[in-house]
Amino acid sequence: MKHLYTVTFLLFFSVFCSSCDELTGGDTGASLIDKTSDLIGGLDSVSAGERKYLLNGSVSNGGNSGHYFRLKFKLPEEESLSFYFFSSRSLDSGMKYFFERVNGSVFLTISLNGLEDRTELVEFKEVDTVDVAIDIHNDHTDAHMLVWDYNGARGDYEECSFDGGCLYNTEDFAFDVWIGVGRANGLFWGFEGDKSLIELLEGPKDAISNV
Amino acid sequence: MLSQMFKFNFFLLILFFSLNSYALKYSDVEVSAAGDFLYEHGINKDSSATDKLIMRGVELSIYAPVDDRFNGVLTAAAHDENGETVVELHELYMSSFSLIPRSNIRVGQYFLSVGRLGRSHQHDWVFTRAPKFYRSFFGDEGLIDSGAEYSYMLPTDNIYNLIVGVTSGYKYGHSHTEGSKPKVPTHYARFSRFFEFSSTSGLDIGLSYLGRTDSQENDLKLAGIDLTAKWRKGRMTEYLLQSELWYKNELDISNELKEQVGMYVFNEFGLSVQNSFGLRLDAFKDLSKRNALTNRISNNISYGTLVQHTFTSSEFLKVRSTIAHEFDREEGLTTSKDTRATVQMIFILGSHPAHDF
Repeated sequence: MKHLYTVTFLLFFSVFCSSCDELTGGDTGASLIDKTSDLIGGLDSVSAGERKYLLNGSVSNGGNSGHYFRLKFKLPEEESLSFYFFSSRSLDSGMKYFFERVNGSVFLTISLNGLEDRTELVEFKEVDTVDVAIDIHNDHTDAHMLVWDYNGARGDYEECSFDGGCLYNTEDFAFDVWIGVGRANGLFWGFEGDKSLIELLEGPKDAISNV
Repeated sequence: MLSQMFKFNFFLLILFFSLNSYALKYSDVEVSAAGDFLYEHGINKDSSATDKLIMRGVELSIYAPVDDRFNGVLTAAAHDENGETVVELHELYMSSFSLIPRSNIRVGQYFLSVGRLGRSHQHDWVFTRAPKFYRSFFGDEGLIDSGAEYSYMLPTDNIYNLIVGVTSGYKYGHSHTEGSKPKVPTHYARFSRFFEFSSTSGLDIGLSYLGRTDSQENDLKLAGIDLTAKWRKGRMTEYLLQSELWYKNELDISNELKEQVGMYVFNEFGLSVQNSFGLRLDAFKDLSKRNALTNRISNNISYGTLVQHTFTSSEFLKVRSTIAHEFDREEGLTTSKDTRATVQMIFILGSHPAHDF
């Protein structure tokens, strides 16, 4: 029993210590980036088709997976950008977030597995730059998506779409819009549109909400 | 006259309540409430600990024989979800040990009998929080669904037990919705063997399988092995070893295969009847995660470790203090860290059904 204590302690202590350093990744070979990569919004990217860009970073998927993303971009009148999350390498599946500006107003259309919902992001009316924080919980049964003004409130409770705690919470429409929407299958993220509009991108990181 | 009627009605009322109390007292109805609250404090800046005292859950259980063949169980639970208390039905089932020899049948809503943690309620777990892989595969509390389960103890000298079950599969694990009709409902099995070392010590090993194909034709398969060994001396558990290893495989409609594997090993040493010291090591690897830009398999792993002290005031009250550290590594970099200290208090009011080994 005495030796068991010692061996167990050493095992656990080594695990504690092994997370303290920051390795370069140079020895893994996995951090090699394609020579055709392009920096967009601070992230490496590669082309995924005409005006489509696959962004660096892949999500954990296959279980209860939650990730955070930040999107900051200019959106002039009559312009639009589409972002894809939990998607394939060709960005033809998963969640699609379609931002467009019409008569000064910014509209967001979220679609997944054939279902979609459109909402106006009134916070960005007549504002040049859209800056949103997004949590996507690709839950076991159905995906749960939240959108916030990056500089605004970060509520994640039910009804936050209506009382200002968030810009959009799919849970608030779970029984009329997103009925049986299911999950997204992919591992990747990217966008489609004019890359010169992108100012800053972050993700996929750990979800900031616990819902 | 009015006065007489009032007295008579009052008498009937007293008689009614007395008979009801009498009936409840002598009808083997057992009622219990389990409270589970915890304070968690983030030690590093990236920790997602809430830094506040939360009422994680309270569970009200009622169980009793319905008649000479069937038992009934009702468990309602209230959880803290982002500051709101949400009440939900955990379990509602009837079961019978006497319909078929060596068998137990249950029908209703219940925790699915797979693995080790999955077969017990969260407040009965030997640590406060499940490992990361377990939360990802099964949710924070394990799987609850409605269906039917059959358990059979094999007629052999050694103790073998087989459990098979089918549940609706509309929902799976963590969900905020009512789900949708699956292509193949959730089906599962656990085959286990118990080795009895002495009248107080033993080892239980089980093999589990679970499958489901959801409405989007994601074909999920899980296979796991769980092991629980206890050495007891009198009322004290001198040493507890508990471990689970799970492999998850999900094939989607485009034939893309996702594979993940996770495990934990938990050791607990009894220092006295009231004090025990525990250590857990867990690991989680996504075998199919790819680098977006190179399309190569991403070198990734998540580790977790914890040390804990449990003070057992009595079988009805426990206070558990834990320091836990989880971190993710990908492509040679530490991508996230979460170190947190937690104090958990669990109490049980009333009678509580016997636990599994």
